[in-house]
Amino acid sequence: MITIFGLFVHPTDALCAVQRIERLGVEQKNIEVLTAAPYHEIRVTGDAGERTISRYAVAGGIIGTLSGAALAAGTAAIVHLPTGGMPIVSLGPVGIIMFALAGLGAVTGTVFSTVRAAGLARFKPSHDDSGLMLEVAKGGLLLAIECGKDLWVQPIKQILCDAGAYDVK
Amino acid sequence: MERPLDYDRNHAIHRDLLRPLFESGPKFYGLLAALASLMLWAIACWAYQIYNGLQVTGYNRPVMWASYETNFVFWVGISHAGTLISAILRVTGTEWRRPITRCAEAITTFALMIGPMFILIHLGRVWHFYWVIPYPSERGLWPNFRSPLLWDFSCINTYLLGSLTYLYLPMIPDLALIRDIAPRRQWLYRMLSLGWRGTERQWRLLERAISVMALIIMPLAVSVHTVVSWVFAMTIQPMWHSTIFGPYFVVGAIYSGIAAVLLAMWCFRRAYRLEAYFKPIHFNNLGLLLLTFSFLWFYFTFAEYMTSWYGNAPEELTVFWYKLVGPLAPQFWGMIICCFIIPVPILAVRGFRTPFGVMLASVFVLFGMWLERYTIIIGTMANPRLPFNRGFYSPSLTEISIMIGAFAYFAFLFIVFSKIFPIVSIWEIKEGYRLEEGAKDFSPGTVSEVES
Repeated sequence: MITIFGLFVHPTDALCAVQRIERLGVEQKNIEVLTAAPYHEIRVTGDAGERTISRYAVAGGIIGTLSGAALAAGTAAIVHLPTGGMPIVSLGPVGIIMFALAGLGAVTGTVFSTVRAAGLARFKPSHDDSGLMLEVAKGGLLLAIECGKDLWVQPIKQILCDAGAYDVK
Repeated sequence: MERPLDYDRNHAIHRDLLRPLFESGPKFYGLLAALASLMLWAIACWAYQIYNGLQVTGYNRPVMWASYETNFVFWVGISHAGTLISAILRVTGTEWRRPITRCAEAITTFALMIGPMFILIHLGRVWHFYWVIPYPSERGLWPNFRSPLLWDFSCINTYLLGSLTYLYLPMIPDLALIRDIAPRRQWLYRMLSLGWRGTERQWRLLERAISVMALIIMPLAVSVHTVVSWVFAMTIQPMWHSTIFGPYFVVGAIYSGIAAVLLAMWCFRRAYRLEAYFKPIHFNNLGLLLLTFSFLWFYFTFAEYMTSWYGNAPEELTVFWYKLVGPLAPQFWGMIICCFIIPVPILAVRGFRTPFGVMLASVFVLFGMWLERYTIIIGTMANPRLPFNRGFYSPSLTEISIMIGAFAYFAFLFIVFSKIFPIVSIWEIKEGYRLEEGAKDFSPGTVSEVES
């Protein structure tokens, strides 16, 4: 698969190029906009999967709560203190341990889902854009388009140039 | 070739915020050496204590909790404001938060690394620290979850992990930026940036993750200091067994935490010439927050002492008078002066609320809050409920050295951090500038206009 890069100055131009390239038939998932700061006006991906993070956080919190209950109440039930052979499962302390572990679970869930959904911890980029990242760091907007068909290469490059890209590779 | 729109501004931001990472003068190394010397001296004192036992401290019956516990509570308190302030400001979308969040989050992490260290030091036989960790041991007993000490262990560890995550997640884009433009240490930034590329999808996910973390971290922060207060309040000792100890400690913690953030901001502003980022408005706004908390703290202190005095219970009054007119009077009145009488006029008068004035008030607040922890612990420990058991305490040179070493360690960690990571969030500053400018280069409908 060939990747074409276009460097832009204006977000408007980049967005304009994205729309034209989509009209050409390139799928949304093959278009990426890389920036050094968030540009809220640029929406290329339909659903980035943000809700996954919240869901994992809640799931982690629930698992943590149950683990806390099992740890604190289970300990009291299994290991009897010398109080007449009856376990003491006091709600306050069990609740505090449940709360702490709920937080731990939620944090773990958030980190795990973020790393997974954002494709982090993959140290090899999906395509070679490293040479252009310096321009992105300086404030440029990099449009990366993965071309499924060779006959799209020239039209896409033309679109990028027409839209105002100051560097096309 | 046309330059990116924000080229000049980005260049200036990179120059200002990345310069401290790659340029260090003799002053920096001198300061580092001085801090390292203090730390080494503290380590030597700790080794001396381990060899000779806790007899080298001022600990004596019945004062078995003293300076180490004071420092523990103080540092856990300092850890409060950082993440809590950052989370509140992020959740409420406060724009002026941008330069201060990183600094605040780092304070939390380092303070949390130092606070619990004092518990280990207090243990004496530090190699038995793992006894507090819940696991089935050969002793046939699991630690008792009804002990507030174990609540502390659970909450502090969760908070430390959460704070580290909350510090690290927003730093990933900056690490990736440094990876791409850094003159050296690129291997480190490549590893730490986790392959961040800055795609639109990644930005959206990161912003959601930061928001979720902010919501998780706020109740955790409140719970940590509440549980720390319960270590005292769950006993039936006079002037500890109080229902307001939880919020009282939380208010005090946020109060001292804000002061620590302000002091750190002032130091970095001066040392790294970051006047364009840590602006007078930040000191003014945080100064007003500090002023609010000084009144809140005074209110809680007044309520706490008023009820003890009016209740007229002999054991409570013993501690009460011990603090007000007894051996702890200098520390008690020092606390009132440093936490209320000096900072309030400085912070209330607009003309004094300059960066220097707010920094000065913060120093007094920090000193006063240390004294507050000291008087709370020593006053009751020296006068416990059983009347035949009275004592007096003064810290030994070993304890003072270890305490100074801890402050040096904190400063050392912070300075080293600022030499590896940008102390101000670069991408948030850039985002702030773009939002500030409004949609100069973009407005709804622009695309269709271009298309037509």
